[in-house]
Amino acid sequence: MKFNLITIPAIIAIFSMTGCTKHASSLTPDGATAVSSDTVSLDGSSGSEGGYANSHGGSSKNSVHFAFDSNKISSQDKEKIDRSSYALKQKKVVKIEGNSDEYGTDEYNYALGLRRAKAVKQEMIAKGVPAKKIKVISYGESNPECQDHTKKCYKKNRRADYR
Amino acid sequence: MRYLIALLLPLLLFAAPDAKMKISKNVDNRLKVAIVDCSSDNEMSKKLFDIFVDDFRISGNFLPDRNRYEGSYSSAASAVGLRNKQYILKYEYANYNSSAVVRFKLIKGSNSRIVLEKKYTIPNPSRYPFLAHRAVTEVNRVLGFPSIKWINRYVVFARYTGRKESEIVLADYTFHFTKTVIRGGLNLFPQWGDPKQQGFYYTSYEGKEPAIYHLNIYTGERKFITSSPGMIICSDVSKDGTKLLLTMAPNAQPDIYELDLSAGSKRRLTKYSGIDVNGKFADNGKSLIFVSNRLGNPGIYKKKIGSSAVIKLIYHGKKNSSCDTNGKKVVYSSKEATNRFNIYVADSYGGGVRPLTSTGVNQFPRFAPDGNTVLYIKRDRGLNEIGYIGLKTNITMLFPLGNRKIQSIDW
Repeated sequence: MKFNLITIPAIIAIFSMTGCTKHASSLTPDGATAVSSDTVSLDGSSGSEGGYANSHGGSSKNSVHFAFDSNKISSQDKEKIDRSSYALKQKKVVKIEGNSDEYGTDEYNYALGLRRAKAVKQEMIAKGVPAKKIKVISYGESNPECQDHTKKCYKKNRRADYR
Repeated sequence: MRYLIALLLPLLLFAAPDAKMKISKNVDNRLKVAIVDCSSDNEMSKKLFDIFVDDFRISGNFLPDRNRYEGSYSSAASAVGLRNKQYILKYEYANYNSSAVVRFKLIKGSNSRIVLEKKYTIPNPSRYPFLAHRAVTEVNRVLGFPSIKWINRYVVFARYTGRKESEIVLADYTFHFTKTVIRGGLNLFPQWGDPKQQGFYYTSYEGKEPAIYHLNIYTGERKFITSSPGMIICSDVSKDGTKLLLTMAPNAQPDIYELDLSAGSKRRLTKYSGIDVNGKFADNGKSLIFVSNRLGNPGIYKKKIGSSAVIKLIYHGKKNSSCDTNGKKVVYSSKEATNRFNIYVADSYGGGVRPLTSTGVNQFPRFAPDGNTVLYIKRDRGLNEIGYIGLKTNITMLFPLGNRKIQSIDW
């Protein structure tokens, strides 16, 4: 707060005219217009059994990585899926989680994550994993492997995990 | 000379900015107002002063004095030192049992006439910012300015708290009041469900597949709406609250659907093998604008509901991945360089593009209900902020929100 030579005497004048002594307030809500009422809070983690949100682990996961704004699987990662296809066929359910880097905070990232999961699903189907047992879900940018704001880190987060 | 022309011609042809900067003469017609705190000493009344200043500023109609004067509420006359102000707002704040009370009066500086005097109360003192918002809305109305009722609305936003974890928070527009309404789990994309803000829709990951729920913020009633494998997001709600625009992916294919809440029926509005998301009702619900990568990069498109024809709406920018419309204008976020996004506004036909931001990562633009103010999420040098831009007033205000990443926002 800056006071110049004019405002200082002015404030002194205000105090002298209006009185600056503070007093206990006698202000009550009587006759006041009510502005709004109170709101609730709830626990959003009380999900049904089998919910996805906190399922970080379970069996070990494999990851497929993608270029920026892309859902194309590299030949290296196709080979990785091929190598794991035998084990995947033995599972009752194969879960694929699509993820994106932190660029963007919007719906596009969730859709991109899903497209990545779908690309992995199609590759698995091509390797003989039955489509029925594959479930896909997108976590957008909500599930980063790496939190740094670097290109190396963003690359780690553009991925689809499957287990 | 011809060498000079040859040198400059390519610059003129290709380097002209897509967007035009508005340069306006700085003629300030805003009313000068001084704010006098007449409360007993307490921290809340000092905070309330800051909110009064923000409210007067964001209205675009007032130039508040940033000095917090103190005085007596009962003295009717304006003090000598403040006679150069066109108006003086005196207020007194108090906590009373479990509620907060404020009384205020607006005094004309030139003749000490009381123009307006009112008293407001609110349950739970933590909600005190709404007392100032209501008071300034009333001052603004009494002096005949266009409504700024939107400052009384809640902002609802989701922010990440960890991997696959987030919370949904209610706030006043200055974020002096915040309250977590959904804590724990992964809950995203809150979207107000009605003009009175009785409740909002949001995406929950608590079940076996992502689902949309509606939460009444006053009763706590939570209602399951629908779910989809892969992903589901409520992107918009029709003005009458009867229809939702959803991005969902029953076959792992993200497209936009319209859900009729009364009939319970869904209609697929877009059919494209790539990405269609972020549907927003336009033309009184007859059209939608949306984000699609159908030409390679994400861009802003428009189509009439029921028609198969799709037009590209925005030709400016190469990667535009978030948008909103108020019927007359479209705002969108455009990726311009590594880790830099800016907000632009265009008319409803995609012309008249102009930038609204210039630094940092600016995303998720949303129109205020008045259609003249844009809310957005800003991230710059590790800070998360919520920004407001007055399209008519050219006033920009930023409110810091700590280091947790904000996921989405609505008001």
